[in-house]
Amino acid sequence: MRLFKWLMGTTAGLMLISCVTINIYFPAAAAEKAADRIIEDVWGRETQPQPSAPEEKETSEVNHNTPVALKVLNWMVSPAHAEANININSPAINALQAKMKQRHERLHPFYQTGAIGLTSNGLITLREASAVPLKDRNTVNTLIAEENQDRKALYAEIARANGHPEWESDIQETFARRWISNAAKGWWFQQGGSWKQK
Amino acid sequence: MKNKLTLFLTVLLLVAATSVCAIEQVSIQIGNWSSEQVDISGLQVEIDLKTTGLVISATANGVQLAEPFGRLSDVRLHCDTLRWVSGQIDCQAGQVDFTHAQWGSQKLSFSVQSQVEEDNYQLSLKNIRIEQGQLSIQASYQQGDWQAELTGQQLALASLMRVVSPYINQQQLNLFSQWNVNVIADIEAKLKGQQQNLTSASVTGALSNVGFSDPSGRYVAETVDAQLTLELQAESGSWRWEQTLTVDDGQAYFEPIFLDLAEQPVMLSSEGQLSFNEQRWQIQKLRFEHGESVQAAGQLQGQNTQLQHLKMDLNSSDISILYKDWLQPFIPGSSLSHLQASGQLDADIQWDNEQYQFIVDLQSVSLADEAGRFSIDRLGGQMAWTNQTAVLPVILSWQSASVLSMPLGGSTLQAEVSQNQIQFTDSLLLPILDGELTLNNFQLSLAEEQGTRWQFQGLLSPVSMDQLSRLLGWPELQGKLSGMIPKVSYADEIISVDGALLLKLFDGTTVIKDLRLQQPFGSLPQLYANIDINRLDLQTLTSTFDFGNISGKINGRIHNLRLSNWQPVQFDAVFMTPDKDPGRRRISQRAVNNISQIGGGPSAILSRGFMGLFEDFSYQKIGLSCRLMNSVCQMDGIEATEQGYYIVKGGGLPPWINVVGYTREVDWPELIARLKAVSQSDGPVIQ
Repeated sequence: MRLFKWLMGTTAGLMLISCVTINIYFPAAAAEKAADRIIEDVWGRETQPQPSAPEEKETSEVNHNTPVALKVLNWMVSPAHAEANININSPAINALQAKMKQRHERLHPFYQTGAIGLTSNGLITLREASAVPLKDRNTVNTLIAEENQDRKALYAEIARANGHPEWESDIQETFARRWISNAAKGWWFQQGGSWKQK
Repeated sequence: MKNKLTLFLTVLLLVAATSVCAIEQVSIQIGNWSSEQVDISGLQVEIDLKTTGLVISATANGVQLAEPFGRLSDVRLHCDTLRWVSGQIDCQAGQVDFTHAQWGSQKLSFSVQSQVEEDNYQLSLKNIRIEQGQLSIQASYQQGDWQAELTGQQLALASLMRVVSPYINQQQLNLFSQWNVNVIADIEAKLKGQQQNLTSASVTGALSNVGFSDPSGRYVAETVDAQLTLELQAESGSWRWEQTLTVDDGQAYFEPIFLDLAEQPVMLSSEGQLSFNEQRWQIQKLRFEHGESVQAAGQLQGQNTQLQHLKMDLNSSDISILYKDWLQPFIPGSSLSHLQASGQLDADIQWDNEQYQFIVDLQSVSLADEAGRFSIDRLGGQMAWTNQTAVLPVILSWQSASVLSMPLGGSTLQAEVSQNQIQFTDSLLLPILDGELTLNNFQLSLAEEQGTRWQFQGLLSPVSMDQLSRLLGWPELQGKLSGMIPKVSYADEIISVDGALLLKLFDGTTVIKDLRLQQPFGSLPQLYANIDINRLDLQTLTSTFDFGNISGKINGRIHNLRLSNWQPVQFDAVFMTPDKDPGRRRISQRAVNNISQIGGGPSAILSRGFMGLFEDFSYQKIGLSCRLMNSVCQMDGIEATEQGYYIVKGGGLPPWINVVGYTREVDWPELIARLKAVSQSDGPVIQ
């Protein structure tokens, strides 16, 4: 405790803490790029990606609201970390991606009719049951359940593969935004608790 | 008003009575006539006197009935045989025509008999048209007792609703239109009653084109054909019923069950009783049949919408359909959701206010996961489950099984079930290749708040690695795998193995510890382990892998190992010549070459004094480490040199050799590719 107080009371302490903070900082831009690459592969080129917001909110906060000492430190330390990449090239991720790509062919017509919509947490759900012929209902339920399992596994695996299992929710949140941005015209997505159409 | 009517009728009767001989036809123009209930305009009545009785014809431009019935226009009434004798009015064959906004243009045949003094009335109405359909009614009433027979042909519910919609509660109508119900019915109903009460009903009907859908689309039927019979009997304070329903065409969906009724018809019959006071109901005989997949018979009891007691015998002569229609829909995306099932079963199910038990007899049941993750063949015996304290025996045998492509032999399991738990009463011996896994004290619980949990103590008697490695698609390994496992447990989708698996390979021992398996049948199975390798004989190892000859012992560890989808994605591995008792250490020309290739080919420099003259070299130490993360292997060796690290360091009797690695980061897939290339290469290339 005394050590902690001492650390807090000194610039050195601040600098040390900031070091730690930067170290575990989630590379949002890289994650977005990684997400887009996977989404483009899974959905094919038919969808139209929209560029994301140019700058990350968190990054700018770090840049503008930090003392000079930290800025200097950031300048010294961050290049190594800012370049931090999100690697999505593992056999496990590739296998999931291939499964999802294959499944997408079967899901595609249901995105088109609005039977399936994209949720705000990076998953999919049955939005309009009546748009699915009765005999296909259970097939669609199964497809949705399996797709969601693969998506959850994908988010967790990307976080683990990059050595930060705790990034899982950040990755999921990034994907949630990117799935929606990349969705084709006419597809439905959830926003603020209600359904909207691209 | 009534006086006026009486007056006219008196005049009419007088005319008729007094002039029997003189006149045979009377025609009266009444014009407008109104009472509290009815308002008639342009009324004209003609009366013909015949020997058979009176012939009466009446026409009116309009008859305004009390609300909500509205107005009839172009009304014509005709009766050939009207008899009117001392309080008895009969019309054997009458006809009435009119037009009404909702009811359309109607031409009805009717007959009426009334004996006012005896309080006896009979009425028959035929050819009531309801759009495309037709309805006939025959009713009689005597001193409070009444009966009615209704016969309808091609009655469409939608048409019926259009006709009656102005007269019923708007809320009920909304509900009805939300559900979007369609039925075309041929129906015969016999109703009996007393005063306001129905005492019995007997209904038979053929329903076609039945369709409905709730607003959310969770309960839907399309083009369903059904036959219905219903017998209803009122007893003091209760109804007694008998009902049958056969559905043999169309499709239905009751989330999550989908039934193709044309393929597998459904039959439901019941006999039961409903008492009014407490809304208690009882079904003494329930039968349900769904083609080959399920035949069920049982009894049910309950109050209001609450089921209190159920006892059911269920039989399936083809569980592939039972699984497809009745089980699979409830578990989409689970490890059991893609099974090939066959066999038969009989089940006995009891449910009493949240207390339940079921006993299932299985006959030659085979289950196989379509993805090949597990299977069980020719499973038979008795399975049971209960959440009660009663103890139910379980005995199951099977001929063969497999888990994750590992074949398991046949075995017999004996256990007891009680309070959502199953416990083996005897050790289960599970043959694995030429060895055997013994499961002791197996216990599984399905308590809701904790999810599925199980655990056992295991003993793995030696399994030959040559068979196992062939099965796993590895190079053929000689050795044995065995283990004493103090505890294997499963909770929160993770299988944890306490204790160690011992692998006797290459004259050394390999110990697998801290083994954990996450979601073994999930999207992305994760395996975690720490492996310690002790004194492997390199001679045996290198000859197995056709790597070039190396002699000596080696120690190693692979810690923090993670396999994702059975592929290594992370570990921290070190292999090193042991300091103590390292054995005779020689390395062949070819092995040196291969090591240098793995270490990055040209970047590894061989210091080869008198190179080419010697078949093999002596070394002091050999060592290599790889820290795998993110598809990159961080490599290191025994110790650092100026620019790189030693992989092999010469020593002992000359000739010596040093192998130095320079690449610190190696792409893992590339490293694997190199290893494969080495093991497939034809032989040494000596420069």
